[in-house]
Amino acid sequence: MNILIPDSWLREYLITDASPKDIQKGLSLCGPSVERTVKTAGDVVYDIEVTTNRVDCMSVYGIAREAAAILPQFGFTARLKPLLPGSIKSGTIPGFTIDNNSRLCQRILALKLEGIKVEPSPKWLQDRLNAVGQRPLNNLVDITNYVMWETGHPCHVFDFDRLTTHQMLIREALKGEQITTLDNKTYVLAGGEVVIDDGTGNIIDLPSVMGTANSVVVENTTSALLFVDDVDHARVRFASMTHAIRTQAATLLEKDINPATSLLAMSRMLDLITQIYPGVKISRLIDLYPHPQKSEPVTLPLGLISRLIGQEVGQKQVLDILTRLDFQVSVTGDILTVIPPPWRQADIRLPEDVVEEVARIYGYHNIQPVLMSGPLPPPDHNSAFYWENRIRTALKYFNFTEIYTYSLVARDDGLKLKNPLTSEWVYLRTSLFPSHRQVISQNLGKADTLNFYEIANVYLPRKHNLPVEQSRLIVTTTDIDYYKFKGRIESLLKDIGVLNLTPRIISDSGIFYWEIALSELLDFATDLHPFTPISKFTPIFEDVNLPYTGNYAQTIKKLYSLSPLIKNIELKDKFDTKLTLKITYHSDIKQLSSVDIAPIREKLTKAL
Amino acid sequence: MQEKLQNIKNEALAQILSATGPEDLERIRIQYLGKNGDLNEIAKTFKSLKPEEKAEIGLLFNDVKSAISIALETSGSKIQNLKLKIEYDSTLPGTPVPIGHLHPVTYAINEISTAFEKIGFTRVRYPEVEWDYFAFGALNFPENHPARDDWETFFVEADPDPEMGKIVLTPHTSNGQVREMLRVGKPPVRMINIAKCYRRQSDVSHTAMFHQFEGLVIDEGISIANLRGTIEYFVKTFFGENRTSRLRPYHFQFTEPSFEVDISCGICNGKGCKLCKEGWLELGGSGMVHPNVLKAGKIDPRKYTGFAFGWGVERCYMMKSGTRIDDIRLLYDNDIRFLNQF
Repeated sequence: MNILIPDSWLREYLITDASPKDIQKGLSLCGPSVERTVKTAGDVVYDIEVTTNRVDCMSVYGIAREAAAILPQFGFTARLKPLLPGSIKSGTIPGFTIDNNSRLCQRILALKLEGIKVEPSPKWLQDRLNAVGQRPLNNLVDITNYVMWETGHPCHVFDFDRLTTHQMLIREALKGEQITTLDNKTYVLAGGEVVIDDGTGNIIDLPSVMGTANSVVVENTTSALLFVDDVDHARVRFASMTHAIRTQAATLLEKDINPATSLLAMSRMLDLITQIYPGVKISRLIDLYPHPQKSEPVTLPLGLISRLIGQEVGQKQVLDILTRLDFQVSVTGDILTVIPPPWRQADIRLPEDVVEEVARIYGYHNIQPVLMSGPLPPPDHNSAFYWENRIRTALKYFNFTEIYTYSLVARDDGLKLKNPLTSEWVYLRTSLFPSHRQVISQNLGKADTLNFYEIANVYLPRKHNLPVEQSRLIVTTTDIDYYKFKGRIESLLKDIGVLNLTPRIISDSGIFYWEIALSELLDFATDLHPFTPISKFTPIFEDVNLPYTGNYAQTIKKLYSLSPLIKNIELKDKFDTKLTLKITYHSDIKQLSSVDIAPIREKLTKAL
Repeated sequence: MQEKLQNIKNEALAQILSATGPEDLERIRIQYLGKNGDLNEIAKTFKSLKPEEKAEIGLLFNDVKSAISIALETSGSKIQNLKLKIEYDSTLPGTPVPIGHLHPVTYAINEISTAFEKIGFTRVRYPEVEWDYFAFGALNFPENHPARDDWETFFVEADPDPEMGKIVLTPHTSNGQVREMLRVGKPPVRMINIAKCYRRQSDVSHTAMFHQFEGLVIDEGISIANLRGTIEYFVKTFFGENRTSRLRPYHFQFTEPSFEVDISCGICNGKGCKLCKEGWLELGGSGMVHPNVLKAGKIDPRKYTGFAFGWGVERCYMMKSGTRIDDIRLLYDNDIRFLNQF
């Protein structure tokens, strides 16, 4: 997920002598990647990709914290100006109750404001929001967005007077319940989304995803409820994905933000309110957080760090890096104990997680590339790869063009997808031909003849098991010359040493095709050709014309049976009713002469 | 009569051989093949033959006639060339042998597998239709990870297996990692797994079906330095001597630490241009094998370490200098006018 961070905003929390270019380079090599920078009037905006495990970096403050740890490694001074929760008094809001279920929502913070006026935000605040692509709406909504961007925790604001029952009940939605979100779109809930009920069965919010039209701030709002919640992240994703409501709030909260951050966000909202509207009356803070998360210590042998990196990193440097990242560290003998700060709790659990922290700040670019030495695995000659290449190459030189078609088709008897992307790709194919027929029909008219082939799997269903993935070869042609097509396949078979296999060629929709399981070829394919000593007796060749009976194989079989001296019969030509055959006569024990073959020829001519 | 025909043939061929100009050849043609030529004279006598003789003589007659015609023609062009004093015109095209084409993905796979086989990797192939266990569970994906939900991965309509889980179309070649560990049993492991993968996406840089190649190395003392060494070797072999690589921190469930691998842009040589991000192009993910993954493969993570990477075949091919394919979908449209260019 990408986030836009203006340099000027970043420097409110980061005190450094590094230039924007230096910050970009340092972050990209050691932290979240700055994919590009955009120059605006008097400012630079960083476009930063933050990985899902680092939701703590999806904010101005988070990036400042990260940069403060990284930049010293590049020789810059860098210091974080900490954002601390102010002293908000906890307590209750008289006459108002929140009934939470901590299984659905880990933490809820709420604060009532009275004596406010909804109006446009100050210009500086609007400018900041515009710079990060958030449209300014009004002061209250803008403050929630501003604080979300700055602290990384989404915030919400209700019109307090519209919460007429003065009651909130956090519960799971039932299937079929309806809500209308603040953008006036109506959704039918699937059941299982976390919603806020006003105590009478009315839904008044889809927390952590989007506000509903019946409770959000309106033009004449005079009292408001600032609200920060930590709905269970899997349920946030479920609601957001099911209804395709991809708000910034949902994309952040689906990534398991540490609830410690919510207090920072609430306190920062309050800062801004009191700074901009000093006259507003503020209630006590409702803070429902019955099971606070605790950081677990991680221990590891110090030596593991250098071993996994592949070069020596000294203990002093290790401790220095971890301290800059706000880890509590201690060393006993060779054992390093590390306690991560709250915002890294979910991410730092294993020794390897600690190695990663050290290695990335140390700099992957400082690790010298070395190919591994050591023994090789025992050889495993999967000859399928070899023969597939032989077949591909042969077919290419026989004027066939290789294609790659999708394994998924619109109709088949095979396995069906539960969640296809389009109606074209629903079934796992059990035959390659339909895909080829389609490619041929798409290409008709673009070339005189089309000759294609492919080696790909078909998926043959099995009960209670994965399908058999059968690798197949298919060869297709639009050429109407059957014997030409067959001849090429026979040449292929001969080339890979497969004898005694008659290709089953099928004619369909003006196409000849041959589809075969590769295993049928690979069982016999060989480069081993046993040598027969060349005879010292020369063979005699003779062309004979014989009638064609409609079954060549039978004819040949019969002819061979006439004499052991007939060593080979080759088809030279075929007319409608006549065959011209080239006969090879040969004996291993003597030189044949015309006297020897005259009687055989006699038999040949009479045989049919 | 056979003898007579045979003699005519021999005589004519001898004369054609000794001819020195086109006028000689024309004279010979008239003498033998002309309306009142020797052959036609003989043909006139066929009427008197018996039917069985007729067939045999007829064949011979045609034979002789075509032999003389062909000889005249061949000799004609020789004499012509003699006149031009040219033996062969090297600027004329030869007689073409029509040949077909390999698909670009095949070229890419061949090049990739050759590169890795040279440094001792064993090429394997693992299921495309896979158990959730090998695609996710064994790779340390939590139960509710987004990749495991309906929006990113294809699921097959089938009852889940109590141990192996649902059936999915594997979204990456990483499903081969634990399968390979189980197959080999005891390190060293050096695997290159190239296979089809599937994800629910389609745009200029994604097709729902694509190919990945997965490298996996496990042994005692395997380090990030070895991963860097392997990547540098591949980048220089596949993309060219002048290209280089870098690692950036990233996040994957099945590696720890995880890296995104970049290669220097081949267009601007790392200076920064429209096609790249500040001189770098993203190649794909990699990392040190997560201890939980080693455990799933029955390998002791206290004794052995390893690295893995899984990158798109098509993506790598498109990033190679000079291929100029800017839309991955072209590779699967199978338009003959595209395929004919390879």
